Amino acid sequence: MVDTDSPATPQAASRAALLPPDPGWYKRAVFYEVLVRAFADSNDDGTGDLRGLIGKLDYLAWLGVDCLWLPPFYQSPLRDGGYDIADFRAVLPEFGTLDDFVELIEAAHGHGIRVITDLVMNHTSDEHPWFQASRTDPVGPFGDFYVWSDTDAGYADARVIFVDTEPSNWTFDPVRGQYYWHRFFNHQPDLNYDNPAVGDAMIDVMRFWLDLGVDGFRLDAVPYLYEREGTNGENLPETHAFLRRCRAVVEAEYPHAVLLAEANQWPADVVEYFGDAAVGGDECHMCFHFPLMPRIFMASRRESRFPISEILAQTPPIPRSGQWGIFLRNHDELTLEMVSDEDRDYMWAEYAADPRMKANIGIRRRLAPLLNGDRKLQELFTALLLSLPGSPVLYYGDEIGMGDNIWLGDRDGVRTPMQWSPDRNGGFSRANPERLYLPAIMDPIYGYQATNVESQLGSSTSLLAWTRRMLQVRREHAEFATGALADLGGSNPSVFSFVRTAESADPTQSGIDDGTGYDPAHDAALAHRVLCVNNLSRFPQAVELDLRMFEGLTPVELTGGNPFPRIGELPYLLTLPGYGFYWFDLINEHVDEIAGGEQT
Amino acid sequence: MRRHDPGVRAPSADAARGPSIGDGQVLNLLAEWLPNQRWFAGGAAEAAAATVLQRATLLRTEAVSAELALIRIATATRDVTYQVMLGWRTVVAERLEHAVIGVSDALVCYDALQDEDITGVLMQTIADGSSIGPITAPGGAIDAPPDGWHGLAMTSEQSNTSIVFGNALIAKFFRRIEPGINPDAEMSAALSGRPYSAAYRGELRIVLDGAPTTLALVTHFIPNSADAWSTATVSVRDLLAEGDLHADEVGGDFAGEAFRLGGTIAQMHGDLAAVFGRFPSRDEEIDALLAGIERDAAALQTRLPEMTQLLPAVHRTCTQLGDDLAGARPTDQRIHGDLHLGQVLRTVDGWVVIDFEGEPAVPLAQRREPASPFKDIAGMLRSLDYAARYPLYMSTVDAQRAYRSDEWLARNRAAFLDGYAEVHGADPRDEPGLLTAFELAKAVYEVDYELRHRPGWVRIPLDAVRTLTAAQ
Repeated sequence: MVDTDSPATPQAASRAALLPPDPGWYKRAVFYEVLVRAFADSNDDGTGDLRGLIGKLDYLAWLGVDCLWLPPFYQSPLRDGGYDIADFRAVLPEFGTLDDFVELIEAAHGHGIRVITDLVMNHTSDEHPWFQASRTDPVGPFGDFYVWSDTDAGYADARVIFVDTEPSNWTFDPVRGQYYWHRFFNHQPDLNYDNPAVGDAMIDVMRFWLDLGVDGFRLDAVPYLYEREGTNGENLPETHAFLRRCRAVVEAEYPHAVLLAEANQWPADVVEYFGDAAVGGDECHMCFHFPLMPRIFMASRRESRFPISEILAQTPPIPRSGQWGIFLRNHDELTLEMVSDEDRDYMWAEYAADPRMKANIGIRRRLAPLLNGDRKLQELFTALLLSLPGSPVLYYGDEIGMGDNIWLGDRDGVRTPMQWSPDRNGGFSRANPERLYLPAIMDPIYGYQATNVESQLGSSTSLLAWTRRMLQVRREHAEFATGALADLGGSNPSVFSFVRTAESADPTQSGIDDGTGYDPAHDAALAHRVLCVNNLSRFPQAVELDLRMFEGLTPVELTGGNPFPRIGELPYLLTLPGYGFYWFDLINEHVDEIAGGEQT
Repeated sequence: MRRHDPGVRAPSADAARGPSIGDGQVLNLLAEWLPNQRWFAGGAAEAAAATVLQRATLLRTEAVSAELALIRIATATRDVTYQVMLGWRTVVAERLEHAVIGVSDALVCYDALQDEDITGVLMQTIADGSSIGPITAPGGAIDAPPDGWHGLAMTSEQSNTSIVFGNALIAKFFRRIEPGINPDAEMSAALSGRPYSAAYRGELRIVLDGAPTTLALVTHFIPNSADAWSTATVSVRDLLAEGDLHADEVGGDFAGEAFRLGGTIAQMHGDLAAVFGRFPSRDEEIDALLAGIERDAAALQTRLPEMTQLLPAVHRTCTQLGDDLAGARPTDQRIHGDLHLGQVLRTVDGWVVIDFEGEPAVPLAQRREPASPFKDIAGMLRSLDYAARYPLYMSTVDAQRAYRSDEWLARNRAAFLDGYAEVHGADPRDEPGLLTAFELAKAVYEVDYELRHRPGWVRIPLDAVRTLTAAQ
C-alpha cells in the first residue's frame, strides 16, 4: 500500500524514555486535560505550543497531576478544534515540531507525569491526503478509504450529532460525484473500516506515537467506526472487534499504554467498551462515564442525592483491568446527550439562562461560572469528582476557577488562554493581545487580573491551594482510586453518603456496588475504607447515618486528621454546613487520647 | 472516659430456666420496661395492669433461651395485645445492654428482637417453611445467607420493630397484635412483584383467639431510600428560600416527582382492584362520612374555640356535599388505608409504597374492608398540604412565604392528580364532591390528632378545614 502520510519513522525525532513499569497506573492517576494552544506560548506568536507546555511541567507536577491528556495537536485545518486531522504523523507547525513533542514526553516523564494524546479514529479532515486521493481516484489505493454512496438515503437510522449545523450525515462531493458519510461535520469524512487497509493504517498510526514514548490514547468518538443498515450505527459488534485488535497490539507491544474510550453512551452500553470481563477486559482500559457529570449538577440543584444514586445504581460492574474516567467539565460543552429529555430541559433551564450558552445538545460553560462562582459549591463538586469511582480528569484552568467567554463561537468559550498572572495576556503570551488565538478572559470576576495562578500560589486559602491539598489527600488513600462504592442512603435525601472499600491489597480490583448486594458482614474483615458524606443542599443539614456495620471504628477526618466520635450502636449524627462535605478514614483504633478525651 | 461494664451479669448459670420463670415476675419486669417503648400506647398504669395471654418457648439452651410472650392490656374501650420476644441469658454482651429489660431469678431478661442469634432462628424457620413452638411460617421464599443471619434493628421505627438482614430482607414484627391476618402481610403478598412494592418473602403466624394471626412480615429490603415527606420538604425549603423565583423555576421543583407519585398510587389502586375486586359503596357510606365530619367537628369545639366559628360552614358544606352526592354509588375497593408522604419511599428505581397496615387505631376487620380510593388520594393531598405548610410555622409566617407555600401546594397537588389521572384513565378532579368530602374528613381528623399530640401544628389542618368549607 502506498502511504501518502508523513514518513512512518520519524526522521529527526528520537524516542522518549518510558517511566518505570507500573501496572494499573491509570486506575490511580489524576488526569489533566491541557490544550496545547491554550496553555503557554513560548515563541510570542499568540498561540500556545509544546515548548510552552514543557515550561509549565513544574507547575503541573506541583499541583499533583499524574497524566496529561493532550487533545489533537496534529496537522489540521482547525475547523473542529484539531479533531479534523490532515496528517496523523505531523505536529501542527504553530505548536512546534515532532522533536518538541518528544522533548515534552521526555520532560514530562522526568517529572513523573505521563502523557496520553487524542487519537481520532472515526474520521479525518477532508484535507487529509487519503480523502483527496479517495475523491479524485475512486479505483486507486485510497478509493475505498471512506464511505461513499450514490445516494444520501443509506443508514437513515443514524442520528445527526451536530444538530445545530449538519442537516444530514451525507454530503455530496462534486469531485467524485458521490455522497460521503460523516457522523460529525461535513468536512470530516468517516473512514471506512470495512476496508481492512483502514484498520491497518490506523494501527500503524498508534504504533508511530507509542514508539515515540506516549503513554496511551484517548480514542475519540469510538462508537461510530462502522455503519450497518437498519442500525443507529453505534456500538456495532464490528467496532468492538476492531477495538479488541487495538488492545491486543497494545498488550503485546506497548504494555505501558492505556486506551481511554470516548463513548458518549449509557453506562450499560459503555461497559461493552471495556471488553470481555471473563478475561479482565480486552478492549479499552478506561471509558469516560458521561451521565455521571450532568447528574452531579442536577443533584445539587435539586438538593437530592437521587440523581447521583440512580446513575451509580445503573452503572454495571466493569472488568478487572478497567477504570472509569470521570470529569466535571472538559473542552466540549457540558454534554446532555446522556440525560433524558426531561432532565435535559431541566439542565438547560437551570444552567443556560442565555441561549448563547447552549451549543448542540450541551451547555458551553466552565465549572466556576456554571456554579455562579460559588466557592463552596466548586469545592463540593471537586470533592465528588475526587471521591467517586473512577480516575478524575481535571480541565485546565478549573483548578483556579477560570471563567468562560460565551460570546466566542462554537466551543471556543471554554478554550481561552490559561491565566498565569495579572500580566499582559494573563502571562500566557508576550504577543500583542490582538495576536492571541482567542482573547484572554478580562471580566472583573474571572478575568486574569483577578483569577490567575500567580496570585493563588501566594495564598494558602486559594482554590488552587485547596485543590492541590485534596489531590494529596486522595493520593494517600488508594480506596479513592480503586475501592468499591457502597451508597449508604439515609433518611435525609439532601445528603449523599458512601463508603469506598479497598477489597484487598490488589490495586487491580475496582468496581461499583449499587448498594443492593452490599453485605456488611463480608466487609468486616477489610482493612481500608473511606467514608464520604456530602451535603448537596445550600442549607446546613443534620444527618443520622446507620453506620453499625462499622461499629467500633473511629472516623478520622482526612484533611485535618481530627478523630470524630467512635461509631457505636446508635445512628451516627453528623452536621454539615451548606454544600459541606467530609472525607473520613475509618480506622480500628481508639483515639480518645488524641482527641484529648477525659481519662479515667 | 466512661468504661463499659463487662456486661450485666446474673449470678448463676443456666439460661434454660428463663421460660420457666413465673408470669408474675415477667410482668414485674415488663411493668417498668413497656412504658419506655415507643410502640407501647399506654403509660405506667396500663403497663402495671398487663396480663400474660400466652407464653411460648422458642429456644432453650444453657447459654440462651427465648420465648414469645403475648401481653394483654385491658383498657376501658377494648383489649390490646402486644407481642414481646423475651430473651434470657446469664450474662448479656455489651452489644445487647441497651435491650435489657431486667434481672429476675438470676437471669437477665432482654428484648430478644435485638439479638441476632434469636431473630436468626426465627428467620431460619421461614427459610425452612417449618414451625417453632406455636409459630408457623407459611409461604416463605427466603434462603439462609451463606454466612448466617445477621440482623440489625431499624432505629427509626415507631409502632413496630423491624430487623434488616444483610441489606436484603427486612422482618417487621408487629407489636400490637389483633386476631387475623395483618393487611400489611395480605397486601404485600398480593402486590408482590410490582415495582412499587417491596416483594413479599414470608410471614410468621400464630393462632390467636382461634384465628391465624400475623406476628411478623418479611419482605425484600430496599436500601438507599428516603421517604416522600423528606424529599417534598426539601423542595418546599428550596422554594421558600427564593426571593423571586416561582415554583416551576427553582432547582428543587418536586412536580416531576409528584406526577410520578400520582401515577404510582393509581397503579397500586388498579392492581389492588384487580386482585381483591371492585364493589359498589354501601348505601349509607357517603352519608356516614358526612355525618361523621359534622359530629367530629362539633366535638372539637370545646377544646378549640375557633372550631365553633367554623361549624356553620362545615354544616353548610356537608349539606351541600350530601345533595351533590345523593344517589351516587362510587366504587369501593381495597386501599392502602393510611396513605401519606411518609408511606412512600423514593428509591433509585422510583417510588415504593410501604406500610399497608391501615390506620392502627381502627379494628383490624374494618381495616380490611373495601373503601373508597378517594380516601388514599385525599390522604396524599392532605400530606402535601402539610409539607407545604409546616415549614411556614417553623418560623414567623409572612405573606411572601405563605404565597410561595400556596404556589408549591397548587403546583404539586396538580402534578400528583395529573399523574394519577394519566395512569388511572380518569381524573379524580372530575369527582370534586368526593375529593372534598374525603379531604375534609381527613382534615377534621387531623385537627383532633394535632390537639392531642402536637398542638403547635393544629393550624395546618384547621386552615385546611377553613379553606375546604369556604370553597363550597
